[in-house]
Amino acid sequence: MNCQRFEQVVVELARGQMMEAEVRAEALAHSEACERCLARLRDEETLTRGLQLLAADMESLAAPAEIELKLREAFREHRVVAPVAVASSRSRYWLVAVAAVLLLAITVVGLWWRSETPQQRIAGTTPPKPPEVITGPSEPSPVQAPKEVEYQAENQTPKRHAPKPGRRTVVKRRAPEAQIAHHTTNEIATDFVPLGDMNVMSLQDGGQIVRVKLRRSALVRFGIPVNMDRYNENVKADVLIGVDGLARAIRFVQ
Amino acid sequence: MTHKNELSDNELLRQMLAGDEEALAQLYRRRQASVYRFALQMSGSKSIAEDVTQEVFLFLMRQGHVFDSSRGALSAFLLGVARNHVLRRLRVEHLLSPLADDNEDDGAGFQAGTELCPLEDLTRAETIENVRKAVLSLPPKYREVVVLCELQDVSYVETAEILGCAIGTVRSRLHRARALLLTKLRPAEGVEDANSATVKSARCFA
Repeated sequence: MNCQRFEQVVVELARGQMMEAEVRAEALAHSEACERCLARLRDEETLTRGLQLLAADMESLAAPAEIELKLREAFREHRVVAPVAVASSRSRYWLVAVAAVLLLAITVVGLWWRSETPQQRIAGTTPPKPPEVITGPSEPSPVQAPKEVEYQAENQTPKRHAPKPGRRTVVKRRAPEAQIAHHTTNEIATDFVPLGDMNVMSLQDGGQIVRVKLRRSALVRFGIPVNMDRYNENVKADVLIGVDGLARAIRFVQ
Repeated sequence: MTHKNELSDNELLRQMLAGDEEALAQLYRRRQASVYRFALQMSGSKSIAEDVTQEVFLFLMRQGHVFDSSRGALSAFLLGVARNHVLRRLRVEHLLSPLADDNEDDGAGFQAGTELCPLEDLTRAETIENVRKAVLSLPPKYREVVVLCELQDVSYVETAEILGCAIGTVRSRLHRARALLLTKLRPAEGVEDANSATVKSARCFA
């Protein structure tokens, strides 16, 4: 064994660690032959004994007794607290369950609400409002094309018609006949007056009725007397538009 | 009926976690001393050692289920927890620097009674004091290896488990730590044979 190899095993040798008997014998033989390595071994052995003295001196030391008492007390509190924690977690589960049921109920109501038709929703909630159709020119045109007419849905509300981005909206619009039928309960209307060369029989061909607003002066064209004091006011009228898109007849509503 | 003191650490832990206070008491009495001594040897402070001992067993009470017996003994687990608490406390209190001579707990934990004659007692006390100061002046990573392997007589394998490193690392750190200790204890007179320490009085480790 050389000094380098001795240095590798000197700590284990000085600490009395388990090692191969042959290596131990070689190391001891080397230390007897090498003064420097012998001094090295003595230093390590002295350090080992010093550490053993320190360890022996502290061997009897232990934590104060009051720590055990504190731990026992904490243990009892912990044990008492545990069921409370379980109870609170149970109540938390109940809260979550109730919240889930509420959420489910709200979802069902919401779906039902969406599946309802606008008429069903409005019925009994808001007073009916007749559709307003504003013609482009203020003068009445007996043969007004339907494309010149703007519809304004009666039950539109700003919230309902402001589609959120990324959300599909379904706009349900009632047929004009249905709208008019719904709102004519409190209205008084004249008979349909044929427009242009249309005769009364042509009214039976069917078509679409559009509610419009006209200047009161337009009544003169159909032979209806007009109060000149209210000459500039609007009156409501239903225009019957045929399948060909031409206005076939008109009636006035009050 | 089996007495608590006949039960293994693992069984006591299981019973303790099931709410058995006596199991806690038995486990504490069995393992508190090594935890306390480790904390005291690492910190040099009785107050820190007491706090750490309490914190270790509080941790065991509340988080004892994290112990995995397949990864090592409970004693090693407790020392590992103690190590973490000690290092945290030392970091907080900035005690990682070498200790001053006027440490508040200086020698407080090293006053065990001896049966030696006054001269031998003085020499022995001086030797112990010098070694204690030298150990406390080591950097933490060397100090913990010395405390575990030399003062707590923990095997290399268990030390590696506690420190979370390889056995070779433990061995090399111990060699380095001992070399540092020899350097610290040698400057005045040089280390002499401890057999003659009681005779040649305080020259050793002076």
